[in-house]
Amino acid sequence: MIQTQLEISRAVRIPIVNLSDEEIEIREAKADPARFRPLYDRYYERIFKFLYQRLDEKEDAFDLCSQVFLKALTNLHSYRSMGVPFSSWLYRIARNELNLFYRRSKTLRTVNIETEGIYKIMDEMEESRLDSYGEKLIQAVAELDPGSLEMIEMRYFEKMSFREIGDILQITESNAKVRLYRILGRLKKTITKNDKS
Amino acid sequence: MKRKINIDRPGVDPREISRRREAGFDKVINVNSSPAFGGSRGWYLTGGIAALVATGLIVFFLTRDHTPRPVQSSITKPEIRMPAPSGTAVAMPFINPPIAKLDMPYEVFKVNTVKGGTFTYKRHGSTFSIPANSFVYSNGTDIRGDVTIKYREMHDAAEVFVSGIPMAYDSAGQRYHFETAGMVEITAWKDGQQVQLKKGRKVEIRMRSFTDGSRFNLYNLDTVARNWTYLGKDKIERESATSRTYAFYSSLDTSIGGPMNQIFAETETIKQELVTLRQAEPQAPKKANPKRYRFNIEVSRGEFPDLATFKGVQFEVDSSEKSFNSGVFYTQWQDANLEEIKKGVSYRIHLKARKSNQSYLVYPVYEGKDYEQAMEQFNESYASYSQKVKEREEEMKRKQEEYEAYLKNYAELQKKQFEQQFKTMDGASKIYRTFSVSGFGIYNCDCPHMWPKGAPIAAIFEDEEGQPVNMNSPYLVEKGRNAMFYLYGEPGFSKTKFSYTRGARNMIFGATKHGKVAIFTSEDFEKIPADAKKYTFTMRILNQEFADVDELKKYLGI
Repeated sequence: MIQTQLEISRAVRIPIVNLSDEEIEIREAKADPARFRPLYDRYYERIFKFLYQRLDEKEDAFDLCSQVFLKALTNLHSYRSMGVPFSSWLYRIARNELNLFYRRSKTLRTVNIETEGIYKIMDEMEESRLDSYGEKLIQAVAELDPGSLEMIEMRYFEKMSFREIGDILQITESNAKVRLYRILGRLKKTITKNDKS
Repeated sequence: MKRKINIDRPGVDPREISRRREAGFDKVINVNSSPAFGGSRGWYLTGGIAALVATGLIVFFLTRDHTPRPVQSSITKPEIRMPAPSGTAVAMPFINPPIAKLDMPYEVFKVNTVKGGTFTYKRHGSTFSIPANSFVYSNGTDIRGDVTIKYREMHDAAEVFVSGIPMAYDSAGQRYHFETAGMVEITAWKDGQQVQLKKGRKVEIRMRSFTDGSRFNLYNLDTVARNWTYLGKDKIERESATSRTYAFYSSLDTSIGGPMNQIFAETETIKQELVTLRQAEPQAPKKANPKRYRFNIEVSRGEFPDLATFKGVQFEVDSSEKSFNSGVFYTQWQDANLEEIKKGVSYRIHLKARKSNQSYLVYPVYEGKDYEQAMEQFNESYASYSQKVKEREEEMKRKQEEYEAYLKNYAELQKKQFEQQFKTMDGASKIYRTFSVSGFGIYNCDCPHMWPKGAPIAAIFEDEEGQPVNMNSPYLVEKGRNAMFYLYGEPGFSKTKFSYTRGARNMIFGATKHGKVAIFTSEDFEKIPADAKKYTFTMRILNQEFADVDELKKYLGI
């Protein structure tokens, strides 16, 4: 190999684009799918848990998880950062896969409830009569419409920030807050409906 | 159609997730690159019926009645009870002794209802007094003849644990955890039926206590509301010897506790400084490889000081760039950009011509005298860096040794104090907490605490064979004080994430589903790295059966 050099004839001002490590990984993965691995490793467990939270069978969750990453890799060329994290994009793909799954299998959603999340909801509803309303609250949460249920799950069972929820649902952070507090208001009304006190 | 509900479903073993992740990547890559699908069942479904789904969707939207229907749900478990502060959602009693065949025993007394009387709890010398004609059935009818009183006390973490009495307290939406100075359970029975105290009558309790201090309040356990009710303050009777003990602890906190906390804070600061220092570790310059292509680029060094560190930098093309060839040097490029990938280590050069763009991974190199000079400069700055790191590490070690010395001193003084206390202990030098109660039940002298502060640690609980352990009634306990923090159901924490007071003699114990004691000792806690954010807690499962709680306490060192 001959040693050679290229001299750029004019002194150019070289802007250095400071990409985050993840943006660099995405760029490299776009060029070479084998370099998708770091992204896959980083988000696999999170996406799996997101799916399993909404499914009954873990095998279904594993299958869908693979499907999510396949779709992500196939469509990676279309991903643009634009202020939205890569993880949020993956969650959006996961939601779409879930919806497809429910339609295919013709089953209704499984609701997986964590009592710790129920405590948190009671706290935010400023409701301390846990023993009286706890069971009603579980029922009420399970009977929410899909969109409201999803927000409750993301916030209280998956502990996502409003910003993350907004990115995934493609709404603003404030909008996410407002919607959630409306849902809490409706839940409180439902559980205290026949309360004489 | 009803939705299925699962409550507190156990998660999937992280090892299984890891295995599936490892095995899955090749499939993702292979399927992505091959035209045909293959592999697991889900993929066949996706590939095989994609067209059908599409058709189905069209039909779905054209024909579906879009009137929203109310969604009903079904609960899979036959009985759902709102979890007690003990944090489980299955139907479990509120007071639930977790260890098979082990509980705090009661002492039993026979009371003549006409006379009443004063009775002594033999275990600790506490007394309780019941006035005459004090008992009624639940319908308010007076009871004649004899009534049986069952009485027991719990004074430390082990005794509370085996009794299964919950120690979490919810007040105004905040969860607290109790440090007990002594707990009493007193119930009355007639012919196997529980009976009550007549309205207006009071039982005077004079409970022996092993914890001094007036920070404790009196609470009653409301088993209906499943929470503790604040009743006020107890009255402390103490002898002059115990007053000296109180003064001893106050002065110990000032002379040793204060400096210890200060040193601990300083150690944490030094740790942080070391992290920052290491992140800025100088990078050694690379020598140019005569067999590789290089670029000579004039960069704006004022803006990119990492490239200005050494004179004469060139950019060598990385060996992964298989498509690079010398044609690059014969092309009329109109523009060039340098993109930083890792500061001082790797970059990407973007070249733009009228009809094509190229980019290549490159890294900075030096040759000849420039390399020698760069190495000299690097050696100097690295020596200075190493010296700084060494100094901070030595300082941290000194602080840690100082801290350990204080801790040891504290423990020795405390031990001497205990020995002194026991030597002089007789009926006159004990602490008693006295209070009146207007009903039978459980009464507790407690100081409520919030969860210990500190960086949370993500915990995995396993047994010694690496199998996951899901505990009933797991408590984080600080030995030396009776503060018990219930591990599950703490708002803000999951059962796999909690914080604890570093430096305290911490311990975790709980019960397995088979009613065996599972422990993580204070010696085990000391092995947790100070900056750990994740840790596998290997719980020791005690297979032996304990004859009584004193045997368990001896084993636990409580």
